[in-house]
Amino acid sequence: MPRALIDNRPVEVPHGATILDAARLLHIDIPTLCHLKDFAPFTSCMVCLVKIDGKERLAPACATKVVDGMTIESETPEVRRARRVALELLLSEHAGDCSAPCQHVCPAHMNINEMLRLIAAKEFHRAAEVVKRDIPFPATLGRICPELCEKGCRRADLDGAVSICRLKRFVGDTDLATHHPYLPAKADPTGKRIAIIGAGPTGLSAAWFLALAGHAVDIYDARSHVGGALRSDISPALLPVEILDAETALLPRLGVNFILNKKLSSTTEAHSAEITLPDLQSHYDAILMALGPIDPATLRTFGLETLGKGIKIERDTFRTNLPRVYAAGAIVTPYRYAVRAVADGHAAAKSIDASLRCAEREPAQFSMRLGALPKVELVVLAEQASSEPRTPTVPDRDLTVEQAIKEASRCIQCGCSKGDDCLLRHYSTQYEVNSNHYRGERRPLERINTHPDILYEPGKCISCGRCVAIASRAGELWGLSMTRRGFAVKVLPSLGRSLQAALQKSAPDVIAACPTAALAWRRKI
Amino acid sequence: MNHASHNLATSPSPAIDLAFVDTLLARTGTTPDAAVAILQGLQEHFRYLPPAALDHIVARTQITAASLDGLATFYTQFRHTPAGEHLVRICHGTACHVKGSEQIEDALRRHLKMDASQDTDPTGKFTLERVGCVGCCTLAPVVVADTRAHGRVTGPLAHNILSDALSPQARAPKLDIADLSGNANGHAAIYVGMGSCCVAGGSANVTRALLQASQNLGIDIPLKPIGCTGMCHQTPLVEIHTPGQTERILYTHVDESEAAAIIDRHFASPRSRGLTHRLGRLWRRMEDRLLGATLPLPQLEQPETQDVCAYLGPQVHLATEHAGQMHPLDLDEYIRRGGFTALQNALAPADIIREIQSSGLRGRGGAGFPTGKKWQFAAAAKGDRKFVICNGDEGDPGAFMDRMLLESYPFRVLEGLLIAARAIAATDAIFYIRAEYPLAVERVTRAIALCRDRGLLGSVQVQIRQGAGAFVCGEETALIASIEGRRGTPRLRPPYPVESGLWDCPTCINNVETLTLVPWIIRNGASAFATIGAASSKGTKVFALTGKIRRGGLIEVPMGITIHQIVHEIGGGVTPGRTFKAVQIGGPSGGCVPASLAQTPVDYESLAAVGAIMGSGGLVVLDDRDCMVDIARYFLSFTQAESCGKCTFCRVGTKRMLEILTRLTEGKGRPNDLDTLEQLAHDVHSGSLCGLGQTAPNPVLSTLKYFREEYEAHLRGHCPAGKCRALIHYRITDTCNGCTRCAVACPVGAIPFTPYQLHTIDQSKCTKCDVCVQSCPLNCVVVESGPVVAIHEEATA
Repeated sequence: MPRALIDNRPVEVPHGATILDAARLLHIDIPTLCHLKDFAPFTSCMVCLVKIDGKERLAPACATKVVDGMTIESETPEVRRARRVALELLLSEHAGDCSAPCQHVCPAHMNINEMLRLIAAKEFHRAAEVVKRDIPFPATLGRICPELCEKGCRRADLDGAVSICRLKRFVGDTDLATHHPYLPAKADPTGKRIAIIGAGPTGLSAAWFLALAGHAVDIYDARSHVGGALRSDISPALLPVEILDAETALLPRLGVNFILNKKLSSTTEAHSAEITLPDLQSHYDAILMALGPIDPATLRTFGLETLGKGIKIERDTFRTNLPRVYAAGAIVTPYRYAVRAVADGHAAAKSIDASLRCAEREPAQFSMRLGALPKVELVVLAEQASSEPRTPTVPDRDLTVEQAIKEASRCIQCGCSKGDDCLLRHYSTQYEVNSNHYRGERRPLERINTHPDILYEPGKCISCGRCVAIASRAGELWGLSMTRRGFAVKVLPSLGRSLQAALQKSAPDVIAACPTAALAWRRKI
Repeated sequence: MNHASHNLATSPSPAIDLAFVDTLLARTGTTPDAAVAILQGLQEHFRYLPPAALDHIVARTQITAASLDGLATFYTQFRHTPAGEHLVRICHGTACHVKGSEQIEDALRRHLKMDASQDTDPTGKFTLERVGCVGCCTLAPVVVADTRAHGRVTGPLAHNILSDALSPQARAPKLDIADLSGNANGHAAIYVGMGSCCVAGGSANVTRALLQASQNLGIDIPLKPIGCTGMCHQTPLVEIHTPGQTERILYTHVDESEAAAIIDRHFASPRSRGLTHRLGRLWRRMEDRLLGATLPLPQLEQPETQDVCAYLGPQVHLATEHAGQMHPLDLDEYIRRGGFTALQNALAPADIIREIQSSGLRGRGGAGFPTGKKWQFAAAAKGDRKFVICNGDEGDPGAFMDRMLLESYPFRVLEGLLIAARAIAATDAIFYIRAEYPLAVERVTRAIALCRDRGLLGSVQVQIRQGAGAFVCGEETALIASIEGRRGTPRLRPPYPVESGLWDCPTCINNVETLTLVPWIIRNGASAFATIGAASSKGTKVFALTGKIRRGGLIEVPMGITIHQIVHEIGGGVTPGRTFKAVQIGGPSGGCVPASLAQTPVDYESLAAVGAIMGSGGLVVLDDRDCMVDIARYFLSFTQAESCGKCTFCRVGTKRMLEILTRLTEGKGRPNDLDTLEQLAHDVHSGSLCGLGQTAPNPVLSTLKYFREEYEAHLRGHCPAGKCRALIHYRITDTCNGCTRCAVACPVGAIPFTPYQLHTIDQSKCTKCDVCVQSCPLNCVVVESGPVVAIHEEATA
């Protein structure tokens, strides 16, 4: 039995085993997009390249058999680079966004496609669940959002953007109207205590997500009511007080304590209506500064370093120079949009949570962005959506249920049907790729909609060959065929058959094996 | 491919003769490995692949729909829409490219009123196809109309090809060289070169005319068709062997109208003398072209010692032994000249391998792996069934050595293959020949049959498989896939084919030229071979010397000869007035060696050291009018089109490289393009699965290395060689005498008809087709690179 060294770890494998087999024995993760267990190697994606001692070129781990005495390195800078280039090349021909542009543009990155799909299916409660994954106060924000998401809507270039913001408000209002507004389940208590200073949109948002993560959260505010700028700076005509009250009232139900009328003081001997940072530092595991804008000179009296008009923080972690003290929101960078404050509070909460759990911060999730699309491709995307024009909205009037459903059906669902499930995205995140590195002609954006359950998007295919092999082994009469060659290679149902005729037996296996969203189930509600 | 979504039961079947399909299947068999041959049969009959016929094949054979569709769309030979009545293939091989094949295609398209997206003209008469290389590089640019090849095509006269295809003469029966024995029996005889280049140059018509002329005279003159003489730049060639004279007379560039005069001069009876009189004018024209040197008749035993002229001087004929002497299909003559003695002098397998090993023979397909070692591995591999394969899938644009060897010496290649079969104890021998070489396929098929009848094949099963238009099938694992009836996609090696190849049996694949050398080595001994050549590269190498060279052709030279000797001594240098810039060696896998490195000896290691490769032997000479960025772009567009599309680095990486190069040639380069290009070239080399992808960056890397300043000039929107169309303009200098030829020739009316005045070019109309340059008798049209504005200023100044 041949023995080899992978990353200086000895391994003994059966005859005929590949480097990939050997690495798996050692639990070394070598990425591959085309290899399938129990199938002959396809060696098409070339993401599994490794360095073999003494060889000039890198070798694909999936097809290279282990030879006795082989020394292999699975993750040198050269290997990492080569894998990154392979992924970047695959992405350079990829015709698909990881998530819809509206979601990108939304500062809170709310999954708008999903929300709209659920509204269209009259699943309003589940729509609220989706919204509240990123925006805890949709009824509030639905009234004051600047509609950034609608500027990203691809349908804007056809016949007007979907009224996303209105529909978010619809979801929030409908949720409140049930009298059992949606509250996500809390994680098990962590025993950690967190103080948030400032009950404005940043602080409230952070409190929501930290409480959900199982932490004990106290929010301090100098005023006698919560809401911060949402209450003080916005006309009640635009944002009725009852809406704000109803949504913020959910926080105590998650266990968040509001400690009002407490002002942050810089003096060490504060009176009872005041709190000090050192005092909080001694009582809490983390403190989040989430106040509104404060003059930098004052901030410095708290011992905080400043940058520009706000507190200086480490951008990725929201940490200030003081131990266990974080800062987010307008006290860092003054800004105009409440939704950005909510997003900032969410991001700070994630960082604090990760730090309290001593979890490693994950690299930022990769997201493919196609940019502007030619009109012909937009038409392809819009094929399955309602062809109705945008519902005219009147500022003070809510959407009716019928209007909401109709408007939500206009969404062309330009996001990816796989979302987080995509292997290509997974490795692209892991190898921190830049999808714009090798910009050039990409595959055309196509949707083959003829199958009742399957959506085939050839533009997202990476020609790995998995589906072709699986269908062939399943003994499909027509099956799928790898047609043409070179850059024009395209998987198609054989000899012009329909997808239904091609995949009579193997559809579930084929879809499970597809490493991207090229072949995927139609999104079910 | 344009698939309609339909089902078998409901599809309205166009009137397709399915009975023909059944007849075809009866001939080819119905196993998966017959798939390519079946598709070729369909293509030949219907001139495209009718969907109903494909469905019928799925129903009647063991070939799955998935694999049939994969094959039908992989190989470029197959069409999926009906073709026009006449198929006109425009060769875009390297030599044709540098000699203006794009302009030829433009001219044909313009004439047929076809835009770039159409492949068939509105009348349905002509279908235009771009082909990689038809292997007639010395006659570049070449266009093949139906079965007839036209060489040295010019833009202004390109449309004549179309009228020729429509003429009744085009349907004349094919000349069968087997009917021409050429047995002189001591009498005067005429030798006519009948390689593909000669035929493309018109030698079949010349032969017909010669036969007709001798018939008219009532005399029976032995007319012997011979293989390639190598002097392709002189085709068609007619040689007169007169009894009693030790000298032979060589006529070059013979036109069929001159045939009667030749017959008359050498063979006429007294009563027909009067003819001479009437053909006096023809005479003088012809005598001008009679070669200065008259060639003494070579001795049969040692023909390669002759020292005749500069072209032939430095050459050593081993693979091409008896060049220009032998009837390609005369088995008796081949045997008379020592053929099959190597096979019959029955060396034991181990001795054959030892002999080949000590000869130092290395694979002539490109990589230079020692042949003896390969045979040793194959001999040691265990298996009841073993294969030897002759790799005749010569796909490099600008190379045609293998075609010439197969056409001129089919018996010799077969003998080499049979020796290999004996050495490794192979049960089966296969010729894999690309379909673009119909003459080679035909001659090898006949040679096999003749040898089989004579009992020379022994127990070895010999067969021919035809490629179907895929350069990558020259890669041995792809070649095997293709024979097995799969898409020609390579797989990772090891395992090497010598261990596990065709149908998992041990398979030894050798290049045509390698095998052609084998009988010589066995006959003359390893040491005789090893005395020729360089230290690590023994023997000779056949090159296709093409491009901007005065004497192009097929040459066989000893290894170790310098590039300078080849270009200047053999080839006579570049066209007068131009300067020698570089040679491109090794085709799409090779590189450009600049003139400054012309002293580089031609051996595997030295060429690799300067960034080229020996390759299969394409040697394209470039002059100062050739743009190196354009050359790199040309090769990348070739490899990109030929990539099988399997692995990421080759499929997408070469595409991105091509996009950068295209940008550069269009003056749209971006500042970091050169760095990205260079880095990507290294990545594609390192990360690709097979040789095609791994070597595809070589033309880019070598030109970046030696001609970086030319790349940088393109970044500034300037093409120093004046080649890149987007960066050049045409201008008429003030030496113009207003003869109006350019104005008449200009196909787009960009030159106003102004007799006796300095002609001018309307830049807004000019399509840069180069026709004006070719039509100007005074060379007044110049190509300039740079902003056109400067010209107007100059003109008004």
